[in-house]
Amino acid sequence: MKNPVRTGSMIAFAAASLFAAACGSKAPDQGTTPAASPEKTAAAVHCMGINSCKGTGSCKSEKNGCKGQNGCKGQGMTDTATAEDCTGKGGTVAVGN
Amino acid sequence: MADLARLQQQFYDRVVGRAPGDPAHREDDPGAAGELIGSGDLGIYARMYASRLHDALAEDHPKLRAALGDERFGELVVHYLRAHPPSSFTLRDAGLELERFLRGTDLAPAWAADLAALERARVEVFDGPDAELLTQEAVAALGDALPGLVLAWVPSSVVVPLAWTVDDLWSAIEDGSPTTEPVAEPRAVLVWRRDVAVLHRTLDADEARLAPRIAPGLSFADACEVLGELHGDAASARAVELLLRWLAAAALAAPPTWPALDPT
Repeated sequence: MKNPVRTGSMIAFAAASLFAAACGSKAPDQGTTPAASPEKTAAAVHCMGINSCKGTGSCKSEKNGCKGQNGCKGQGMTDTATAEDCTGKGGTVAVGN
Repeated sequence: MADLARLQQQFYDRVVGRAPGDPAHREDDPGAAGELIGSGDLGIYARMYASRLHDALAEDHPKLRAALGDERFGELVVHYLRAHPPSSFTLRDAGLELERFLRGTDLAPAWAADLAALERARVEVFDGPDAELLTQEAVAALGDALPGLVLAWVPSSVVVPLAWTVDDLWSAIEDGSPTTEPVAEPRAVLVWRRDVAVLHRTLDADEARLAPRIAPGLSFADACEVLGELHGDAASARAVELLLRWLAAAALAAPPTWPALDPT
């Protein structure tokens, strides 16, 4: 019966060498398995300063993570469909949109 | 009960739609006899209460609303709120029980609970804590100490197991593409936050097997052990491929303690 820890470590040591080689090349070998499915994100614009922090969703900011504190009225972030929606409500479009 | 407390209770009952005779109405309170609110239209508050809750749930579940249609989603919300009236001070929590409610109702298709779970995960992840990321440079610096590295998803992440292809439905709605009815097909989705962007990705078979174990922390050697069972001699290359993928996605957190480097 194989020793699972030893087997895993042996594979990991070999992987360490491969990792170093991959990082040293300009185009790391991504293997022969199918490519990862694409990352998905919503297309909404992150808009600062318009939410009244009803507590739903997007109110994270540097000042307030909104972890149920309900205290980020006007300080946090919410999502709007377009930049115009954001500025029309008195907000500013967050950097990184 | 003091008059003020009775007044507040009566006002609350009216706003949330509890009428005398409702089991939730405090008829058993010996001090509740007699209406203190004699006049005035409280209906506007009652309508606003229901409307705000509907809007909050719609905002947190835009794809579920789109998939079901406004009318059906609205009916669903009414029944949900009747079964699970809000108990938290924040509307953020209004939808906490929606997935569970959907699993026990025939008001929506069987796949709706999975879609609600995916959307709820995206809400949870957005509000989750920040973390120092594990970087490719830091991993490369480990050299032969790599096997001891503990892999863990960033704390703002959730692995969502799905029984239906609602991830495809989510994408179709988001992209404005034609939608198709989800089919029963087990899969897992990783939802995580990168800066202020919430992302999710459907995991491949290897990732789906590893992901729940990475959530609490899994050494690279143990991950390799799992991959060894699946891929034999190709496990090392596969481990590197996955590690590079997760690092590029900023999905892994820096470990609380680093494995000791070999001084030789």
